[in-house]
Amino acid sequence: MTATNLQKAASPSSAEPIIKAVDVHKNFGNFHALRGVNMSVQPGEVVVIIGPSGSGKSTFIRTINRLEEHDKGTIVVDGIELKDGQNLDAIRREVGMVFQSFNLFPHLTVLQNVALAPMRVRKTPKAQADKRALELLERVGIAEQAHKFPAQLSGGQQQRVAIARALAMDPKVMLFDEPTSALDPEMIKEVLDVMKGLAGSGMTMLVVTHEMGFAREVADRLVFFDEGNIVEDTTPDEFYNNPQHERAKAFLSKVLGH
Amino acid sequence: MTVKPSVQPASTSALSWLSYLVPGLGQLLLGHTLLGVQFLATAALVWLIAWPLLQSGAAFSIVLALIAVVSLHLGAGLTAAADARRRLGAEQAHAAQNVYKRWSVIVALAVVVLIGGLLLKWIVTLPSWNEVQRNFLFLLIGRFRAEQFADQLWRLWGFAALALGTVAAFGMAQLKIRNGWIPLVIGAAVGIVLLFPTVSPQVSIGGLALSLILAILGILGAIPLGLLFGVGRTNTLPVIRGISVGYIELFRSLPFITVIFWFFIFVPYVLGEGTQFWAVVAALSLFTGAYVAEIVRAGIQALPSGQAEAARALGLSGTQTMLQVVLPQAVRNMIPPLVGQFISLFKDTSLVSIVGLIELAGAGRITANRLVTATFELYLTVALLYFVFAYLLSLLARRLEAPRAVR
Ligand SMILES: Nc1ncnc2c1ncn2[C@@H]1O[C@H](COP(=O)(O)OP(=O)(O)OP(=O)(O)O)[C@@H](O)[C@H]1O
Ligand SMILES: [Mg+2]
Repeated sequence: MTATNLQKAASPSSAEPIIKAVDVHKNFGNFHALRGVNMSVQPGEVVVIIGPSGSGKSTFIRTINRLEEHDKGTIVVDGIELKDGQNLDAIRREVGMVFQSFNLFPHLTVLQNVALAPMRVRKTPKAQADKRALELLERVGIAEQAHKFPAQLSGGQQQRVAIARALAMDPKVMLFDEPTSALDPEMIKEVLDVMKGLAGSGMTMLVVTHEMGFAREVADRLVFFDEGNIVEDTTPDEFYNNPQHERAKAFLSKVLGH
Repeated sequence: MTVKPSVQPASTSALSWLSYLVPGLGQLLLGHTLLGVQFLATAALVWLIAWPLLQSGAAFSIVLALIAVVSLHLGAGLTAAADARRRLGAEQAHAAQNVYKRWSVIVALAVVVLIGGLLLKWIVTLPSWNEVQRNFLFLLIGRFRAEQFADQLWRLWGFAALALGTVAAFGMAQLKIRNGWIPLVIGAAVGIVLLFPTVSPQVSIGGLALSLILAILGILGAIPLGLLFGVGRTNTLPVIRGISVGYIELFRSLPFITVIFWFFIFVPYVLGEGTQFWAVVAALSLFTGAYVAEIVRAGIQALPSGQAEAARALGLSGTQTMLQVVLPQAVRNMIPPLVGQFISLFKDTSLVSIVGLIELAGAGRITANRLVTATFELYLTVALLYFVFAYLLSLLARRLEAPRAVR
């Protein structure tokens, strides 16, 4: 266990949860993708979500910034309940998201990618937004690429830009949907290192990933999804060494080959 | 060479000049510079020899011409192959050589040369080209005569502005300087502002100038309409989507002629006399706008959905997402189909002559009816004028695309 992890384990769990999802359901037509998910996340917690393909992991974290609308149940993020007619942009400002396929804007430079949202949404003056963008790019280790276009960068570099872009809005929560699964093995580490640094700085993170090493090093909790619901909610080590659920055992042996 | 210049009438020398021009230029267009030049020389020789004989009606002259074409073509092919070997290596050279050895190619080329030459001869020696020449100004600008509007002559600088803008955009594209659309738009805007009063019914500018003015005004109207309704069609609000779909489907389901008629009658009825010109512009814009809207929609939907999702996840509003992220990328996909649409708009202006605006096609028809004798020559000229401008537009578009494709 690392020092950051110990620190976090000591943080009080009695505070108001920053994310609270109660009995969340989601249907795609006839398909019942989320079937009553309950989860609450404390500020500063790092939660890793794993589960078989199609179990609803992406759908769930996408409901948290309302890229997907849930059909039933309640979700409260930082005191704002997500429902129709809410000011969505207010919630999305609180929640940053990093996608599997990066989704950088190919017509903008790296710097412009990072500075766009602060300028347009927060109305930050350009000079200030650029300065902050450069700081963030420095933090993810690619300041020298600031004036290139995304297509000129490697996958790992692109994903780090995507992280910087999300951080530029100073979110309280970061969502990651399989941030490393589109990357070549040698680039996975550079992205995971950035994410570890972020976790160390106290960011609240929900991470869908199958990187067990990352989960065991950084995550406070590990949540196992199956068929649209959470079937295990435990610590990474506990899950790794002693999975309770049959499906979890089967999944672990498939993912890790043990 | 035993050709005595005195045997050839004036038109003949012009003809032989044209006849070697065509296949030679063809080769040049195909990128075979050396071959093109040789072909020009070949055809020149062939026609210099065969022409006087053909004129005297000797059948064997055709055979002679064929032999000359074939042998000289083969020679040219071998030279091209040698050239290719020097530049590209033996394998390609072999392939190049084989193409020119193929009989089908040789025969086809020989036939093209002969038929093309005869066709050109026929066209050039049509009797009434002088009539076309006499009425050419009418085809270009209709009844507009500068001397009646001597105080308005400066307005013709509008054409210069249009041309300058186009040339500047073209040049910038050639030099790979970005933002070539800026001089294009400025030139068009200045040109239209200057030329604007000359299109009033009293001044009655017509012919090619009117066709171009209508096309440009139609495009300027169609782009905002297309953007508005194309984006509207992708909106999540059913009302906005419904209105957009209604507009698009309505105008795409009507023949253009009915749209013109309807506007031509309806608009002056509501807005008063003297608005016929603008009625036609509105018809052109609305009709083309529906097609542009579909191009815009396709361009937007061709983008991966992750782009809009990423923008929304960052907190950008729907409008900001559209303006900052989606449209800038979609526009690049839209350029080729848009140009096709605008070429077809330019040609569609030929239909407005049915409501009495004398644009290029109308001017051609009026002149042909009046003269009776020069029908073929006139319509050929009109067709050529349409072709030249439509082709220029598509060339320009190709150049405008090229530098963007790089990154
Ligand atoms: N927009 C949609 N329309 C219809 N069905 C959908 C849609 N999005 C997701 N689904 C379905 O919902 C289910 C859950 O999808 P989700 O993407 O959340 O799974 P996941 O756990 O993230 O899987 P993976 O590991 O493959 O990413 C899947 O069966 C999927 O086919
Ligand atoms: Mg997923």
